[in-house]
Amino acid sequence: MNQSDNRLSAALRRLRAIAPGSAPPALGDTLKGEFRRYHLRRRRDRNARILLAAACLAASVGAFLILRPRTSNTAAIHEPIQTTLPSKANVSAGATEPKPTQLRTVRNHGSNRIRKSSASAADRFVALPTFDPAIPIDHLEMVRVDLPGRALRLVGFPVSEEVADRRVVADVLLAQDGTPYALRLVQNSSNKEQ
Amino acid sequence: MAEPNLVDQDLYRQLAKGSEEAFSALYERYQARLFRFAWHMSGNSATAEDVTQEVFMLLIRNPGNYDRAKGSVAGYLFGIARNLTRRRLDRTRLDEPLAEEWMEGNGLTSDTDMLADLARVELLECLQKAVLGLPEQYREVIVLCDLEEMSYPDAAVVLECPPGTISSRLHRARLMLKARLQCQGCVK
Repeated sequence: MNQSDNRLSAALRRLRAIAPGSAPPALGDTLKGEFRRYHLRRRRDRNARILLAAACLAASVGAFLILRPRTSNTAAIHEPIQTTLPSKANVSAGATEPKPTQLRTVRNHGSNRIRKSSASAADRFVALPTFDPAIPIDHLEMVRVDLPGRALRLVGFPVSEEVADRRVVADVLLAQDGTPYALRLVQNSSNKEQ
Repeated sequence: MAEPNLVDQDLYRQLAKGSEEAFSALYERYQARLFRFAWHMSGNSATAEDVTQEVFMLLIRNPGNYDRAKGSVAGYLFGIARNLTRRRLDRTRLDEPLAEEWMEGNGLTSDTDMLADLARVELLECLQKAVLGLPEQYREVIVLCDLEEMSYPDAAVVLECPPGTISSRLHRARLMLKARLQCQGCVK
């Protein structure tokens, strides 16, 4: 480093020394105030968001509690399911196998409904040959079926020729193994077959 | 109150969480250096104040922008100050970077006599004029390395170039500075 370099370095040091020592003090106060205000706003926004989220959650829970399906002793109707008539084993051989039929299943294992149902419509239920009086009524399940009247003969239900050609809706009392024990006609549908 | 010996990155982390003490500590550490940097780059106190304010406003509003993997907090702050100063200089088209305020503020007059003693106040004025007259990339290294005494690696982070470039740029800047001083007749 030669003399001119040294001289330049010294001059630069002096230039540094005469430069302002710091920013104006008011700037620091302004910035600290701004920092405080900014974070206050941020905290307020965050709290508002949390409150809003909590309110939405509470509203959702409330709506769910109000609108949820209530479980009661009345029968719960489920979506139609594709199945075949139960107790094929009990059906006499050589009979025409019924085609898969759309069922509306009424499920309730509570004894109240069955008792109520059997009390109101006991006279209309017809015991089938497979009926076993030893089976407690609590263990029965009622299934509503929509099928050709002729198919009822397969489980031993007496059907007149007129009804045999129509589609009928019937309630079937089934044991837990699917054996039909009793049946009642609910209504006669219009003849859709043939 | 924030611990005085906390490193910048700890302070920055606390600042990002909303600690006013951490903000104050960082402000006290860097405001003077940033202000001087902007002042040397622009030759103007108002610009230096605006730049300093904007640097810290960015810090308040976007604390998440700093990535510690990319360098020090100092490098990050000077980088912001550098960009803001450049933007301001571009906007005001400071083609003739004579700091009039500097002259008026110090009560100096132009002196074209050939003087050997750089301790003279008039020559400091010449030097200031010469620094402000340097192309920006050379002025930056003079301000950071000579006037702010920043290390080459730190300056390299601020100026986003390798430390070797800082070294060569600084050498060239000093040569240009001496040539300008001689041209202005300030030194023999």
